Amino acid sequence: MKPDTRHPEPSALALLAGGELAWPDALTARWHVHFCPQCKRQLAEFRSARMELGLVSAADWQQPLDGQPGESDSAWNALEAEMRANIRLGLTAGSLASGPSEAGEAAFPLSPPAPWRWAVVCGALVFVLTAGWWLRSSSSVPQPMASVPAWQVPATEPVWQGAGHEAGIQLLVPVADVSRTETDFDGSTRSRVIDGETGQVTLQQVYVE
Amino acid sequence: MWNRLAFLAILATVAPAQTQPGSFRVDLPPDAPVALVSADWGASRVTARGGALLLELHSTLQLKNTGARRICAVSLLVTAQDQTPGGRASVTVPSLDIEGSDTFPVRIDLRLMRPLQNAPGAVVDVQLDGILFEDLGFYGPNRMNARRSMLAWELEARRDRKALLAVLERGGAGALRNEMVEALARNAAQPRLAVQAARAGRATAAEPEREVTLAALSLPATPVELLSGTVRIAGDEARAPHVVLRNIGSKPVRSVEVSWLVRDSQGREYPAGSLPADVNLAPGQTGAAAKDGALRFSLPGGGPASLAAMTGFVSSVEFSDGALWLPSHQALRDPRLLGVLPPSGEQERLMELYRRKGLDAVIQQLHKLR
Repeated sequence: MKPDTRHPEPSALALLAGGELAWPDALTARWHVHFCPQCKRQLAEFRSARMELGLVSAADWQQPLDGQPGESDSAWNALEAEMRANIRLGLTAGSLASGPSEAGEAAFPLSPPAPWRWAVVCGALVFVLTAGWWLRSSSSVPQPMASVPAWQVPATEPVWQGAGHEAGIQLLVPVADVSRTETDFDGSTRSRVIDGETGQVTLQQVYVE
Repeated sequence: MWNRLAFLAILATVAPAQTQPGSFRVDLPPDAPVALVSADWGASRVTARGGALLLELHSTLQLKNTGARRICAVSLLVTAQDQTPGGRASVTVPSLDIEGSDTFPVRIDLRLMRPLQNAPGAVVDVQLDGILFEDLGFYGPNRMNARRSMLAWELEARRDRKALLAVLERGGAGALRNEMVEALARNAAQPRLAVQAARAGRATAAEPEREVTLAALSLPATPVELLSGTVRIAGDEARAPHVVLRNIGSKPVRSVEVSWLVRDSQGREYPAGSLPADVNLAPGQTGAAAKDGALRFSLPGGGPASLAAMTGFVSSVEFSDGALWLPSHQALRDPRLLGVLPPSGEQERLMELYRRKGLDAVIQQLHKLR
């Protein structure tokens, strides 16, 4: 695998020196620095400056330039309170090193996503999934056993408000004693009703042709 | 603005219909062997659905046999609007045994459609379509082919009662009880699909339509043979069935009824209704019957059924002289059909009688309608 021939921005190297560069960019930058003496030297300068300011421990300095920065608890505890200043320093240093044209660009504080943002994202996902499940279950309500299709209803205007294009209307009244219902290919429906008390059978058929 | 005005106009048109359901007319011919004793339409109501009126009819008509012949079936034609899909219905009461001067109820529970525009005359018109007598004689205009359906029911009922009587005479009450219990168990275990008419020709890329050759099942002694057939299947829909039939009997045939079984992708078979068709086949003649519509099948839980194949068989044949052929009781006990075909109407009626009133009530019915 060949190194990326484009030099990282000085600001990226400054952030890399502080261990604050986002991990995909940090990976690319480290890979480049490994092969590029110029960027390796610049990164060493940034780390040296940080050491002078007391922001990097000696253990970090002993690490290879393209290696992982130290993450010992003591170092991070010491750095925690100065994290924002650290990032600003790196950005400012990068701006100064890249020349006057970029020096005027405002540096903005980078902060890791706050936990509440993850909570909001997770909440939204849960909401979307719940709504999807609810809509799906409400659309799978059992269809009427026999119905005349909506498109065959004599309509001078849209008939079924809020219904799908395949919606229909049940023509055989759902009475408790219906024992069997059939539908013909032409849409005609018939049902067999057996009266529980008298045992009398009634056959009802609705025609659509 | 215009939508609101239109809505108000519809309300104004419909409001009187909701408060006063309008006229429900029962129109029986003067020479009919039945007469209307009473009609209660109190629970019926009319509501507007877009450009149509939805009539929800709940009524019990009391009719009287004014003739001398025993009536074994009555069919009424209920019309809200002749030309409207869903505007006509028939109500048939089979398995009757009404002597002269006896009264009997006819229950109507229907929903019908009619256009919103007011038309002269009654909102709902009830007419006599046919009466079948005990001697299988018929009276009536037969507009909705009531004779055929009533005759088929009556012959089927006689066939099934005869089979149960044979069980009773051969094995006694215990054998009949076993027969009823087995039939109830089969009926309870029978898989069912909900069927809905679907828009024909709706095909999606996700569920490509394919033409499936119909598996033909031939019952013993059938006068009409199902030679071949096709149906187009797409997911949970079956469309445009086409069958080729041949009259292999000696009498000209007027119409046939082909019954369907559908098989889902897991190999389970379900009854799926029937296809009545007027074919007019002379002896030895071959003809075709087809339908344009589509049916959609769904599982009892509401999910779509996945159709894999269909089987068809000729379940009744009407000859030109009005006689009817039905499969024998023995033929329907074919292992391929037993447990898949629904029980006949009479079997279901007797099963219900057994469940509610016990074996004695069934035995009494078998002897009474012998």
